[in-house]
Amino acid sequence: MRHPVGLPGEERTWSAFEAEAMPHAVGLFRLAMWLERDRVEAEDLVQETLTRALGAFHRFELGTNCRAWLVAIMQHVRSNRRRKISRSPVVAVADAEERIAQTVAIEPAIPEHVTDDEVLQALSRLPLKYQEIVVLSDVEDLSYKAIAEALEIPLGTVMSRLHRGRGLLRVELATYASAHGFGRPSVPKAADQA
Amino acid sequence: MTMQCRELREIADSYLAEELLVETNHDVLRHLEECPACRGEVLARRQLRVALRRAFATAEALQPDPDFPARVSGRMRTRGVEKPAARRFRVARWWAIAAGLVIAVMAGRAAWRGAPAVATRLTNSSRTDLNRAVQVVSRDAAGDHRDCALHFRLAETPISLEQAARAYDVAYRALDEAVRSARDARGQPFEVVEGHVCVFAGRRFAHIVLRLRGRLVSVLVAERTAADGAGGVGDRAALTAPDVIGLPQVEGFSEASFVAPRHWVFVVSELDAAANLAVARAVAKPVYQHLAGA
Repeated sequence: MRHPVGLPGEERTWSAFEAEAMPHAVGLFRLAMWLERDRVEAEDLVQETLTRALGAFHRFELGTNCRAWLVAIMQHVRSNRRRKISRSPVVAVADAEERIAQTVAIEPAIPEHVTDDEVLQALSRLPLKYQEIVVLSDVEDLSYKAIAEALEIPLGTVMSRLHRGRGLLRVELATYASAHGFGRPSVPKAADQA
Repeated sequence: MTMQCRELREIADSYLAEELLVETNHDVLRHLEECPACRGEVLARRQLRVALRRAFATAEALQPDPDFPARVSGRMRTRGVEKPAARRFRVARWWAIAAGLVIAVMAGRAAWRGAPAVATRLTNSSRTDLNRAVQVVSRDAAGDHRDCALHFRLAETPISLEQAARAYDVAYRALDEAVRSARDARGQPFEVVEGHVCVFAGRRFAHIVLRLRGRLVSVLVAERTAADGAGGVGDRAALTAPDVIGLPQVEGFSEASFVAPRHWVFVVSELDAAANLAVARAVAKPVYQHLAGA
């Protein structure tokens, strides 16, 4: 029987890829599912992402953040798909956002007793561009630089959108908690801060 | 120079991700000691990260089917490296490929055993059942590795392979010899520390403990039961040993697995995923043949 992968070199590539990248498949699916809101699309997106990643695995530097590398590829795949679907020119993001939220004002802290479902509902009420960036940073743990590369936006935009997105999310959660009568935010205590 | 609030907030995410250099980290801590506003901000960010990660990890709607990792892995192995420009596989096509592969594997396996080929097409639900079972048993395997191989704190005292063979399953007899006959990539045998049968969370495992690079590696064999939801001819043929798959980490342990006709086999360790997978692949053939022939 012909070996599924073929050449011995490719088999070695597959073994390394399987060990390094495939354990991230579930996490990638969760992210894809959040972004696409459709299981078939999400699965297809993950499959294409991993296929591209396998083809480019010789360029991956072992020991670096494989999850971030895969997420960046996934974002490129999504971006290409959107371009194909819309067939419209890519409009540069106006960077007026860089001027937004540069203050150090404190948004509400996370209310106590908020459930996981409520967190996701609050997140889903944010504009998509903020959801995306909050998830990439706070769930996927991507650096600002990795997010900027993945989304093809300037570093400053990443920072301002992230700041804005988190602020909006915290306001959403506080509003929800207040409306449901458990609105006391978990005020930081001196002993457990930082 | 004292760090300013805006400066701190720009690097607060790196601080939370523990990515800062020691010196910068000290600057952050000094600033946080003096600045209640930034302390509140950092704490709020931390809470938000924790809440979001937990929500993503547990939200049912975001979880893939239990067989998703194995299914994707199978497709990748089948297709190999192709040029990305030519790739845009829709799920329906993948399913067709996977179904074809399953049938081919079943036919090949039946021929290998000298039995008539029975091309039973698996339903999606049986695949799901099978891989859900793999997930469940993999958690027990990780728990057994932790509590038996690493910490010796099982509720029940392990018994010998021979005792277990007489009492429960003849396949356990001399299972350690099958593992001893395996060879690593350099053609060397593994160091077998011990072999016994133990019980974790109500599940009985034949447990062969190896030592590799100073780490203990568990080869765990459990009987496939109806309670796992993965019995039957079709399921048996769905994952054909020694087709070894790497699994996501469980409790920080690397895991790899393959399925024998009546048994699950897991290799669990603190080795990195590649090394653990290599051990699993090395032991797969002799262990599978031992179990299939029992």
